[in-house]
Formats: sequence, structure tokens, C-alpha cells
Amino acid sequence: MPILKMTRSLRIVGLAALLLAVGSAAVAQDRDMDTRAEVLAAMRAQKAQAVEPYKPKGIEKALLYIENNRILDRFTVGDGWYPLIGRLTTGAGLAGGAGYRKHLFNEQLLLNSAFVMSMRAYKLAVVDASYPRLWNDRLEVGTNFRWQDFPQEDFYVIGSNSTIDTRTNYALESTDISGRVVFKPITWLRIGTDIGLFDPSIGRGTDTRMPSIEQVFTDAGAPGLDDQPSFFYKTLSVEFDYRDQPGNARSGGLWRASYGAWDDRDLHVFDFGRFDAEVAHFFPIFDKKRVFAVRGGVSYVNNDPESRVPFYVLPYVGGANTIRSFREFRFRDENAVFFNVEYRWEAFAGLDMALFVDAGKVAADWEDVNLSDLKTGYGIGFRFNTYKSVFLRFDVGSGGGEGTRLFFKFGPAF
Amino acid sequence: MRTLSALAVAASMAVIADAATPKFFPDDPIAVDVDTQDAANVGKQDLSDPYDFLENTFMNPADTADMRAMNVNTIDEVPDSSWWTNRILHREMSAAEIARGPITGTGPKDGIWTIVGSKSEGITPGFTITDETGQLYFIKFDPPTNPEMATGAEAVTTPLFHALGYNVVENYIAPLRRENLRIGPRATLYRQISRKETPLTDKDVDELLARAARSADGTYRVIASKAAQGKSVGPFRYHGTRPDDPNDVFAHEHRRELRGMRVFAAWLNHDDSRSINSGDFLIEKDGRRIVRHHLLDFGSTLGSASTVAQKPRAGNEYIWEARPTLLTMVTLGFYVRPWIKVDYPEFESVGRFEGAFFQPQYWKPEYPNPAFNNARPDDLFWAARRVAAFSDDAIRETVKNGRYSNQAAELYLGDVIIVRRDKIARYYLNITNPVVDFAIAGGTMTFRNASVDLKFASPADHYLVAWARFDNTTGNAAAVDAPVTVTATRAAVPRALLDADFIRAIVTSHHPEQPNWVHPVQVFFRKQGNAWKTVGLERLVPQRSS
Repeated sequence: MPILKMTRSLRIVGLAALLLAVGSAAVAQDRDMDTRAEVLAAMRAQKAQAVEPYKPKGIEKALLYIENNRILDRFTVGDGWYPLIGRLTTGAGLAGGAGYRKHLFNEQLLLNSAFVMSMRAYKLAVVDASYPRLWNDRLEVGTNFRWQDFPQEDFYVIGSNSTIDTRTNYALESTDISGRVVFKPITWLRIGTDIGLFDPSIGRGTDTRMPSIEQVFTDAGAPGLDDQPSFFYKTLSVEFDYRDQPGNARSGGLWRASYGAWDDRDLHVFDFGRFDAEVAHFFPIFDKKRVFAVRGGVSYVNNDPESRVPFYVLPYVGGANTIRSFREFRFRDENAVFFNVEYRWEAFAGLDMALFVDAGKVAADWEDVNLSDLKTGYGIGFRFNTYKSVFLRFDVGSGGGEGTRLFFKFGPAF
Repeated sequence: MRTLSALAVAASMAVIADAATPKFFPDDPIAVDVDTQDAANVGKQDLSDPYDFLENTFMNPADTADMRAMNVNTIDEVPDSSWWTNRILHREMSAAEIARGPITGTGPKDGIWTIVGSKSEGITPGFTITDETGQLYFIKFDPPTNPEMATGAEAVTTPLFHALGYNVVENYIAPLRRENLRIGPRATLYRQISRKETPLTDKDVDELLARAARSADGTYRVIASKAAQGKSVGPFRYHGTRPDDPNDVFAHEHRRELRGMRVFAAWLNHDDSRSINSGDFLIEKDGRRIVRHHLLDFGSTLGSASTVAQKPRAGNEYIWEARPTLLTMVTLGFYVRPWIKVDYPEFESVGRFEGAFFQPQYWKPEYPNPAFNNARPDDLFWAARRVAAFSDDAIRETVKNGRYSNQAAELYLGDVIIVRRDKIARYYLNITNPVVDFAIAGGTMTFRNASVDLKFASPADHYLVAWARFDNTTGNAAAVDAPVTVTATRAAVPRALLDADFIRAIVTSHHPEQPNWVHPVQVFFRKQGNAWKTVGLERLVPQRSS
């Protein structure tokens, strides 16, 4: 007979059962038992001598603690302190921090604050107050304060012909105070407006692997390098969102557009407007186990002839959300267009994979925004997900002539 | 040659028990396993559902020894116990009795239902209520996308599992009017935001009901589960035993009724057959407290996944399974799992449930179940006999419990359950030697072929019977004459054995299309006065690796 692998508490019982299976020999013999019922009763009497409560250990104990203390609720929606992982811009390195969330007035008002810092000393602090569910969830009103210190942002020569050896870095510290109103008349339509005050400051980049921006560029090549005014901005946006699961879309689509007017409050030389639009659609096959996802986006800024647009707010392509064969912010100019096509397939319930092709370009003139001379890339992605959301993705992009790029993000590609 | 080697295996098995104790006690075969050692000290067992998934998917926690089920009696049957009550196959059950299932009353009384507890987590709303008689029920709803689906599945599956032999609770379909719901003074709701339980409000009730299917007449169709008798002490696992329960002496992965449940779960697509959907209850019996083991929550059976229709993966693949995952990865998704292409009829009230693609041997629950994985051909055959015992009438009568408003849906559901029953019977009744019901009378041994009787196989070409005188004290068997060949399901007992106290017969069946029928079945008879009683039966099945 096979030797049983059993826990300590099972060993006695298992042995007895084993004996039962080959004739109930020992138990019956030792105690002079004449019936099967007596043998079974003896086994149970024997176990009764050694009963003990079940005690979870190790991983199970930890999981039970998380479940019984509702730790996941604390991380996601619950009031109180909560930890944060990620949440910073690409290139910031691994980031972590903490937040504090509090609902007031019968859970109508949400106060949220968070601080995150990365391995590369990127810092972000946010305080937000909002009424997200007014008028039966049709209206959201909120205000936001955001301070950020990004000390190693990349900058290259403006334009689509910039070369990799023009790479520099700069520090962008800014505060942004804004208010917003979002109207949601129906579930798939959002119309919103923001007004705010954005106060940036450009400094020396701290990444010693490359020059700091001021060592290579002047204000002529990097508009706004010398002086950074504060901006008053007003933005209007509209969004049609009919995706099945916004966090992990497999069907439906998303259309959104926004226009913002930015007024230079100090120098009056950086007044501009910015338009951004994006369209994404998801085509499922095989019960959504395969999905073709396509997206296109366009951005442009326009400024009066006597005004310029600061380099740090110029549209760009390159990076985790546009062309994944290039570094973040690789190409900047006053106009940008990009396209993504992904073929996604479910490897198993917790992992989707994707083959993707990205393309895009930047241009100084809107007339040059076309399909010629596109920067391209292709790659493969791994998206760890639940049915409703992608919580972690690895994308590996190449084909842009500048090596292979790896992007590690907490959230979906689009 | 195959026959000879099989007989050799049988002979060697027969001499295992060479101890100087009897193989058969006077009370064998026992019909009841009296597991009534006082278990008053059993406490609430808190099991982690995510851990259950991780443990069973990645850690293989159970004893995987390829051994006969531990809790069968000497004739290879499961005695009645706190786990199991022999019903179908053991005795005649009318279609009406099967369809009635565990029902003892009429369900929650019309009138005011008082909410005493609620469930907001997940996307399935639910309440604990008392009706005007004070009886406690757990009520759950259908999802708005699939009216009648989850409640129908529960109402249909519950009586079938009851007829099979499990302890289940009474489930009733009932209409609920919002105005008949009252909030009890102690009813609370867990709030994710504050992470506290606070008093339930009418607004909460309205919000929970907004996530439930509502009928055109304004009522909500609910499944009302009558609270099980006794005190809940948590779920059971499909491996190991409860360390605090003195009666729980057989490792669950080696219990026949849990191993065989693989067949029942496949039949009814109970892919959620895991610990969380079981319940142990401390009850009083004969002045002692014992644990009774239940199967709970059949909302994710048939075509229902409780809150949505079953996913196409349900029953076809574990949540995590290495081979198809890797295949899909390396082929860039061009490997398409075959079940993805299965078409399902558009019955919202049925969900995704079909019988054409279904192959019982490949059916899988959401993640590995160690008892299911330990099932051997003898366990599966035992289970299949019970599935095969459900008549078409009984199935159709039971499907009526679902009270489907669409008659075509009801008809379809009954058709699929019948098709799946037949596939199970055809496969598992032939997975080993299907000879059953041995008896000796008038100097002749008779038996039946379960597969042939139910027309899932044509009659055997012949049977080979090897006779022996059996010494119950030593366990030794002395062969008498050479094996004899018979073509009918009867064989004359050798004269030399008629004065024996115990007889052993080893029977193999031979059919050109049924290779598994050569697995030997050894049967033991004990002389009782002038008659013979069948006291032992064992299906000698090949080791798992062979």
C-alpha cells in the first residue's frame, strides 16, 4: 500500500484507516473488537483524544488577516490611510507613498490627499476635494491641488528630426490649483470644464548620465527655459465612453476631445491654446478572448504670432502611451499625432498578451500632420488583469532605431 | 494475456490481508457509519477562499496516494453518515420525490419579510430575512441581465444533489415585493468606505435591489434558502480532515462521495464546487453534538455563474492551467481553445449550458479539487450509476422547479441535462468492469451488467469467473478449479465450495469494444444458515500511472 503523506493531526487517523483498508487488523486485535462498528468507533475515540482547533498558518493566516480586516477596502475606497505604489510619470522609477482618504457629509464629499516619491527622487503631492456623486451621480464638482517635483525629465531638440545624442534632462517643479465641474447626463457621456492656475519652475536636471538642459540649449531652442510664468487655464472637454470595462476594455470605444486656453499671467509671451483628441475602439472576437484594439490621437497647440509655447507643455510622442520604441518625450513639437494597433489575446484569466504596432510623428505645422515619415515601433505586452481592470503591464517596444524599450506601468495601455 | 495479468493482480490483492484478523466482521457490510462521537468542542473554522484557490492550484495539498476510497464499506458502497444518505439507486424514488428534494414546507410565508442581515459585497445582492413565522432564510436574486437564471439553477440543482445523497438546504423560489420588506432593528450593512457595519437603511435596500432582476409586475424573483439546522462552524475542505472533529477520520480526498462528486459536478456543471460552497453545521443527534456536512449555494451551476451567464471556460479549463496558457502565449494567440468556439442558444434564463461539446472525462471545476483528482475508476463508476438512475421524467419534473417563463428554455435545459447524463453513463459505466448486484441462490451466482442493463453497451462476449475458498481469518484464498467461462450473467458455484464459510469469486468481463471491462471484480460471500450473503465487493482498477 502506498505510504500516505499526511499532516500530524491526520497521521493517527490515517494509520487507522489504512489498517481498516487491509482488514482492520491492529485496531481490532488490540482491543478485541468483534464488529466493524466497534472498529470505527475506536478510531473516533482515538481521535477524540487529540482534537485541536484548526489554526491557519503562513500565507493562509496572512490572507485571512487581509480578508477579515478588510485591508483591500482600505487600499481602494475605504477611509483612512492607504499605501500607494506607482502613480508617477514614466521614467520616475519605482515609486511608493501613502494617502489619506475621508468621506464626509453622508459620504457625499470626498477628501483625498497623497504623497508619492520615487527611487529617482520624483515627488508628487496631491490634495483633492470633490463631490463626485451629486444629482444622482450626474454631476461632479471638485477642486485639486497638485505639487510635483520631477528632477529628471527628458528633453531633445524640438522637432521630428532630433537625434538621440541631443538628449538632456531638466527638473520640472510645479504647483497646480484647479477646480472642475463634470456633467454626466447619461452613463456614456461626460462633459467637463476645468479652470486652474499652473505655476511651473524649470531647473537643472539631476540625471548625471546626460547634460542638463541649460548646458546644451538656450531659450531659443527650448522656449520657456529662461523664464517660467504662471498660467491661468480654462479647459473644456467632452467624452463618449462606451467601453464594456473602462479598466480592461474588450469591446466598445472611447472618443474624447478637449480644448484648453492657457494665459501667461506674468510675461504675456506664452499665451496659447491646446487641443487634444483621442479615439479608441475595441473589436472583440471569440467571446472577447481576442481583441483588436486601435487608437489614434492628435494634439496641437496654437499661439498668437507674438507668443510662444513653453517646451514643457508641447505635445510629444514617444513613451509608454504613444510610440513604445522610443523614450518618453522623445519628439516634441507644436503638433503631434499617433496611432496604436494592438492585437490582444487572453493567455489565461489573469493575463492578456498583446502584439502592438505604434506610429506617430510631431510637426511644427499642422499641414505636416499626415501619414508620411512616421516614427514607428512594434512590440509585445503582458497585461496582468482582472476581468475589470489591468493592474500591471509590461510592454517591450522596439523598431524605432533606438534600441529596445521596456515599460512597466500600473494600468492599461488604453 | 490481459485477462491473465488482471487475474494475477486480483489474486495478489486478495492475499494482502494476511493478518490474523477477519477481513469481514459479522456486521459487514455496514449500512450506516455511526459517526456520532460527541463533537461539542468543534468551533468555527475560518477558511480563506483565495488561499483555497492558491493552495489547490499551486501547492497540491492533498494526499495523492492511488488508493481505494477509505470510507466505503466492504461491498464498495458508501454507508449513510453525517456526509451522505443513500437515496437514488439505493431505493425507488419517484419523479415527484426527486423533484421535491429536501423541501419540507412551502417556503417563506407571504407577507412581511424582516431583513435581519444583508450582503453588499460583490455584485450579487442578498439579504437574510425572517418571515412572519420567524423562520430564517437567505434570499438572493437574479442578475438584471439574466432573469430567472441563478434562481432557476439553484432550484433545479438542489434537489438533484439531494437525491444523489448529499445534505443540502431547502431552496424555494418566491416572489418579493419591495413594500413587503421591512428592516429589522438589528440589520446592518457593511460599508466599504467606513469599513464598518452600520444600520441598514431603506436607501440601502433600494440600491441593493437596483442590482437585481425585476419582473414586469414589479416583483423580484428570489431564491430563499432555509437556514440549515444547527450552528454553522464553517466550510469543509476537499482534503484532510477537521482537526477538531473526532468523527472526521477519513481524509476528505479519500472519501468516496467527495471523489465521486466529480461526476455529479460535471453533470450539472457545478464548477464552483469548492470549499466556500460547503458548510459544516453542529447539530444535536441522540443527545450528542455532531457535525453535519452540507453542500451549499448552487447558484453557479448549469448555465449560471450567479451574476452572469457561465463563462465559456466554465467546466472546460481551470482558472490557471499551464498547458493551454503556454500554448496560447507561444502561438501568439493563434491557438484557440476548442471550447471558445462552442455556440450556446440564446436563453437568458439558462445562461451557457450545453451537451453537444461536453465530454465528462474532461470536465473541470474552477480550480483543482483534490478529491476530484483522486477519483479512481471505481469511484467514478459508483457515481455514474447514480447519475444514470435519474429517469427522463425525473429530470424534466425537477427542471420544472426552475419555473421558467420560457417553455423552450425549460425544454432545452431538460434536454441538456439528459444528454449530459447519457454521456456520463456511457463513459463512466464502461470505465471499469460494470458488474453489480451479486447474489448466490440455489447454487448459482447471479449478477447484472449495469452498462448493458441501461443500454450503454451491448452484452459482453463472455465473463470469466475464478472461484476460491476464502479464509476470513487469515485472508487466504484457495483456488477451486480453473476459471470458468460463462456467457450469461450467472455461474454455477462449484460443488466443492458449497460447504465453505466464505467464497470468493473474481469476475472479469470481456467485450471487444470495452477494454476496461477486464478489470477484475472480486466478490465475497458468507454462508448464513442455508443462504449466502454478499459481504464483499472490490473493483480492482489499474494503478493511476498505468
